[in-house]
Amino acid sequence: MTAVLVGVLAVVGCSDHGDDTTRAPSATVRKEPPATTTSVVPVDRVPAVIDVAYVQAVIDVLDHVEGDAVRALVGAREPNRAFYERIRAIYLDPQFDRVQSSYGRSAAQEMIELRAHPEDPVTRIDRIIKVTGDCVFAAVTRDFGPILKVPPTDELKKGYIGFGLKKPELDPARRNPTAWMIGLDGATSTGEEPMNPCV
Amino acid sequence: MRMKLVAGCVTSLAAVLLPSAGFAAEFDVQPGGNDVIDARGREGTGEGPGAIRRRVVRVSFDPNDPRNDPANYLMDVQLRFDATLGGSCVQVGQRFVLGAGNSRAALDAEARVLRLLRNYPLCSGSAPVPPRLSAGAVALALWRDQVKLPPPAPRIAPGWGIVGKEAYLEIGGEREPGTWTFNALGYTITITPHSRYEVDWGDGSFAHGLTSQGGAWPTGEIRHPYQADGAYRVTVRQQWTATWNATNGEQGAIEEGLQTVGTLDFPVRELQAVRER
Repeated sequence: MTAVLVGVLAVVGCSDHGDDTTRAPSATVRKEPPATTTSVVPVDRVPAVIDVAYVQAVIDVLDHVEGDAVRALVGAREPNRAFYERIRAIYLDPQFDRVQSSYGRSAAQEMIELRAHPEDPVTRIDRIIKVTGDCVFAAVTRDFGPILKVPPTDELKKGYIGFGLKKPELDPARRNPTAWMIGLDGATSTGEEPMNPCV
Repeated sequence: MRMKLVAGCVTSLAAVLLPSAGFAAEFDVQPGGNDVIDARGREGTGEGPGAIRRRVVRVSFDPNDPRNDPANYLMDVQLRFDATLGGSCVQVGQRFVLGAGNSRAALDAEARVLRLLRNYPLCSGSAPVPPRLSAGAVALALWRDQVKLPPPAPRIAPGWGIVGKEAYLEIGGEREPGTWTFNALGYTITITPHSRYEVDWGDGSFAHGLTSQGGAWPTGEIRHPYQADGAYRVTVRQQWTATWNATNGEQGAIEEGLQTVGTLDFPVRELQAVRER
């Protein structure tokens, strides 16, 4: 699977509410890691204060779910229910479709780009850029090397992730234990930071 | 798996955040890239994922827009899980890859569809498979699945070698085994395989690109002196390519190499001259 695709910034969870007065109140954002970290971060709820430690805990769980999905895909040599449910549970539309397509192309070519024993992708939350009641947007270092035969370059690992609130109807099997799904996973072609990612 | 965003999309985020229909207009084409645009980004063109290769709906009014050129699209082939079917299925669409419409990748994608559809149904949301694939794609599919290529049969007389003396390899089997003719998918296609040999002498020495089948001492052209005694495994790899022609006049070359392999266990002994008094 070619590691780089081009998509659009379309974060369903980060929807444009404009001046909607019914909008959920924004959570407070702490952009830098706290001086002390707690050992247990409850990822299944949205805290009053969304900080790096919390977002990191969320993406760690989602990375593991994706790793499980890829292991199911590689093990079955074709997309099966175990793969589908997990990917569907962690990606919002239309990002889900792009991810499904990428894996689907690899599956159509006998897993040509996937490692025989894939591990979990590894994501580091570098900085939180924006938080609203239903959107978290962060600069990340995201590494799919543990699942790809040819690991991406360091340049390709730098990018952004946009989280939207989880839609439970997309996860009937409860594969995703967090309160969030990934609505965007990518980087800008110019390297510039996106403006107003959670409008 | 990373999604590389297009700057224009990012800076016009509010528009992009509208429902997905129509967002294709936000795409910036990045010439020269490979795999640069997900075909499903064309959902906003009105053609959607139902597009098939060479059926391109005009996506802008710029006559020079590469997105209007069918030569810049190839078939997008995926395996997906269909929750309704409860199993895998083949999803066919089209992808924008600049200049790739007539490339080897395009033929490969069409041939891949043929193979996958033997084992999986078409997804319910898939575009239909083109009613008539290109002759090149059919030839490639036949080459992969139907042409039975002979393996090489290496032999070195008398069955063992002597240190310091050249071993003369003879490669049995056929290097140019003739032609295969198929009637498939509306074409009559004749495929002619061609081959070269690679020899791994088993002692770290190799020979590549051989067109001779060698021969016995003293005239054989493929020979090798072993420097030490031991048990060696000689491996001959026959690398195959092919040319094809169809009765409709189309013809081409298949660069995708296939390989057949033959091995020979070959003992090499050291001899010493002994003078008896």
